[in-house]
Amino acid sequence: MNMHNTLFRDVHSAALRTVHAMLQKGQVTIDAERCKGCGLCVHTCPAQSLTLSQMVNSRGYVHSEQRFANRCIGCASCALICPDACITVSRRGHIPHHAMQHDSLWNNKLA
Amino acid sequence: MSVNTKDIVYHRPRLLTDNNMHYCPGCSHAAIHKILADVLSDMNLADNVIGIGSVGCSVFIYNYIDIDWIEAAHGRAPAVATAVSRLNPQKLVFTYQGDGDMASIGTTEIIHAANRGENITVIFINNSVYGMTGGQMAPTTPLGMKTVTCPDGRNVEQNGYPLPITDLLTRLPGTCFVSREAVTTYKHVLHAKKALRKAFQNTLEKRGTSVVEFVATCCSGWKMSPVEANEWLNTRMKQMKMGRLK
Ligand SMILES: Cc1ncc(C[n+]2csc(CCOP(=O)(O)OP(=O)(O)O)c2C)c(N)n1
Ligand code: SF4
Ligand code: SF4
Repeated sequence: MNMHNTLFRDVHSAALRTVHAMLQKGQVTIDAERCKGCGLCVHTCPAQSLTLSQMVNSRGYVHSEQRFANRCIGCASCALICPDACITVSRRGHIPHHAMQHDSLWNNKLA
Repeated sequence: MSVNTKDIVYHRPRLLTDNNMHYCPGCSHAAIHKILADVLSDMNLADNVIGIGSVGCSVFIYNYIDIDWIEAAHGRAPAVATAVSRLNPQKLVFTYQGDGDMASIGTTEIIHAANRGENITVIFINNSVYGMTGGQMAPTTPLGMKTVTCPDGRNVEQNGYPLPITDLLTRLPGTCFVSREAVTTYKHVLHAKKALRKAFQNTLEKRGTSVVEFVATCCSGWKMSPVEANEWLNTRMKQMKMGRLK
């Protein structure tokens, strides 16, 4: 019985993880070396996708990290609020309305 | 997972240099540099702009935004900008000044430059204290706010009233556009970008002086965490007229 339960839980959570990964709308890359751990992105994220890490970077700051990537909706709120421009946001699906209005969000100048 | 460049929604502005900014964590100066760099590159102005830096925490701004800069003496940025814009009418000229710089030692320069209607944009960072020198009271410090030089809070008897310099500038016929912005939430950031763009457009069209005030935070001077400082400012902003003033 116990074994069945664990098996069920494992399969279930693996399935959930896959569904979550499929639903994930955005992805964030954080320049941890540049980050000063002000925490504004963590506070502003509507999806509670970000946390402050337990580690410090080479300058002695704790830095932000995307612990719960599959919650990300790609809204770019974190990148807009980040004072030190450490955050790059990419999409995996639709783009929220406010991001579309924002020229530099949309006109991709890296290309 | 590799990221296709076409999928990028937001990336570091191209005009920001690779230098790490020296500002305290969460400082509004850094956020404002970021949107300034964004707007300048969106408008394709990088080679056509001269910025006039000022004295204050933002004194090293020339290390962070990759355009031409002149560093003015304390408070004198509008005077330097006057000369630069008159000699280079084809360039966009703007100043970047703190409140200690613009509303205190440089009051004369800003009032007269705006009154002459010089073709410049003035970016005014109002963090209510002298950040660089350690958080002393500035002319713009609101009543009741504690600083190192008014530890019991600013009071009228001793310190006089806060100077509403931006509101005064709206009264001058030389100013064509005055706006009050902030960078404490992503909505404010988006709004501020639009205001900066409008201000630069006016300057390019030679309509007179444009002023964009940023109500800003100074976490170190206010002795608050960055999140607390932003929240405090958001509450205070409810009592202020935000957005376009003229
Ligand atoms: C002629 C002169 N007087 C005084 C100073 C000292 N000083 C340096 S920065 C500063 C105040 C800057 O405050 P603010 O413009 O509000 O900028 P912040 O640091 O808050 O961004 C003062 C008084 C100076 N550098 N030069
Ligand atoms: S893009 Fe939006 S949802 Fe994703 S981490 Fe940033 S703030 Fe959170
Ligand atoms: S002292 Fe204040 S204004 Fe200066 S960098 Fe620190 S937070 Fe910013």
